[in-house]
Amino acid sequence: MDWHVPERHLDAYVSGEIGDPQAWSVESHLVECAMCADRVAQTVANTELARRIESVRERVLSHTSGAAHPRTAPESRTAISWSRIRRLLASAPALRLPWLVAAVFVVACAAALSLLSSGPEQAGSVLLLNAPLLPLAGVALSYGPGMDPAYELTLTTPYSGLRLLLLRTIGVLAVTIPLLLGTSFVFPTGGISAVAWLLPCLALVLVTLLLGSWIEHRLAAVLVGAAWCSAVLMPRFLLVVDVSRVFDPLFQLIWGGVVVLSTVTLIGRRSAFDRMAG
Amino acid sequence: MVTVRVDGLRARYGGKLALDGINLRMGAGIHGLLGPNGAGKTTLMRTLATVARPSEGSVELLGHDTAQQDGRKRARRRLGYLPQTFGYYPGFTVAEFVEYMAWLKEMPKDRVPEAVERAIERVGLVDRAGSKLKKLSGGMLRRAGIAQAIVNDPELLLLDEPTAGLDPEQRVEFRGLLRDIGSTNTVVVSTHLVEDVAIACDEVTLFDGGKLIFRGTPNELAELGTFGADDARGGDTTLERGYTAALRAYRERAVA
Ligand SMILES: Nc1ncnc2c1ncn2[C@@H]1O[C@H](COP(=O)(O)OP(=O)(O)O)[C@@H](O)[C@H]1O
Ligand SMILES: [Mg+2]
Ligand SMILES: [Zn+2]
Repeated sequence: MDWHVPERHLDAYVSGEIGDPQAWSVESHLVECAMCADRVAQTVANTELARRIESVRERVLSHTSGAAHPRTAPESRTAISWSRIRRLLASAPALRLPWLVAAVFVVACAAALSLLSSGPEQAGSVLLLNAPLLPLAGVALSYGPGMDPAYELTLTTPYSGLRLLLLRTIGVLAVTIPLLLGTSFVFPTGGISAVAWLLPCLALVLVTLLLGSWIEHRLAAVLVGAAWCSAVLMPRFLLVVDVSRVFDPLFQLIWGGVVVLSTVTLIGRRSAFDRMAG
Repeated sequence: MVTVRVDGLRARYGGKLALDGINLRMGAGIHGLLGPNGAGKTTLMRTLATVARPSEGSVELLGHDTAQQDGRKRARRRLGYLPQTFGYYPGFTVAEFVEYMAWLKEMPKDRVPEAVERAIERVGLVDRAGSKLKKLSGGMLRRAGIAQAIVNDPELLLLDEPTAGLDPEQRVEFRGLLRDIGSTNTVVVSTHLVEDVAIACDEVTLFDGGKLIFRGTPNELAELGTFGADDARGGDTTLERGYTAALRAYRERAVA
């Protein structure tokens, strides 16, 4: 349909100030165009006419089947519903069953390796250092070309790319964090709090998302993961430096700052997520 | 009414020009984009679908400037797109996938179930609506792809090589669907098959090497072929001969 009721005709129609020929043209269009019918309904809802219609409606309904049909509330276009969210999430590779199985397997292996390589006293702290990488991997697998088969199609819809990305990120975190927390509570962590890795993990994930507004999402995750490896894991294992300081209160403050800053910048960059990079 | 307005469009992959100075106007009806492989049809489709950013030039869809984020969002609500390589979630059923796309297209929630049903019915997949996508044949997948494209009754429907994988009977049905949608909306179909254009399109736009080299009705394209009718090189039908004649003339001019 290439013609729709112009705004001014709509207002004139609702307020009854429209001429007959035009009213007729509007009405014949309303019959076949649900969109304009909705627009009329919304315009009416904003006028005092709405109350009168409602009272008439109630009187009419009181004569029908008895049980008054509740007026269906105009659903917001973006109303949250669980089945929707489940499907939006399930479309991400990282949230499908095979991936979940793999994640459990990786965590089990990491725990076993930590135990074998570092002995029972160190295993927990080693695990903490590795912990931020698993959610990061999940996030990398959840979005973007090559990862989301329908990525190109998704871009042609009005649904915000950043919103979809955040939704899936939350999905990944909601699965991986409890998994890792559970494991790290099992192992003694040598005085470090078992939740100390959460803030750095969140910081890495958010920096990845932000970086993904300039470069490909997956590449961003690889770069951030590599940065963590070379700044924390390599010194720990190759140079045997005590890197557990990254979990100190001072560092936690820094991680918190990174989280806040990258969140704010990310929101500012949201329009970058609705077209192909480059 | 003009629904697609393209001015001075250039698209580059790295340094290589894939579209070179395209100007186009389209309105309601079925428009065929025809050209050999590598002509730039998919690049143009992806630009019209607002996936790819033009390197130069402007694209206006349904009255919205796609350079603006807001314009893109508005145009996207009224757009349907079938990419050349249709990516899908193998574990979703046909109905689930079409419904998922209806959500992303921000259709009013209460209208979604009916729209999904109707779209699946229009492509003739009703008895497979509950089948997982990974269980479908190539032709069925294409039809599922078309169903998601039309679920929001798009005013601008973009189909990139939609007949690939369809058998002859399905092609005939598909053309019927096209005519149905194209009577009130703008439908752009890219193909490298002259036959598709001959039967279904109101207008043909011919591309070669990223340039627009011919625009007219299928009959006008066929006329180009009648001049060299004794020349058997061109193909079996007058339309095919017109197609090769137009390509040859353009390439000779380009060399000279
Ligand atoms: N992703 C890409 N990277 C580099 N070059 C590309 C890419 N996609 C297409 N091209 C090139 O751009 C030109 C146009 O391709 P395309 O639009 O796919 O043509 P068609 O759909 O008509 O076959 C071709 O020369 C092709 O090799
Ligand atoms: Mg192509
Ligand atoms: Zn209307």
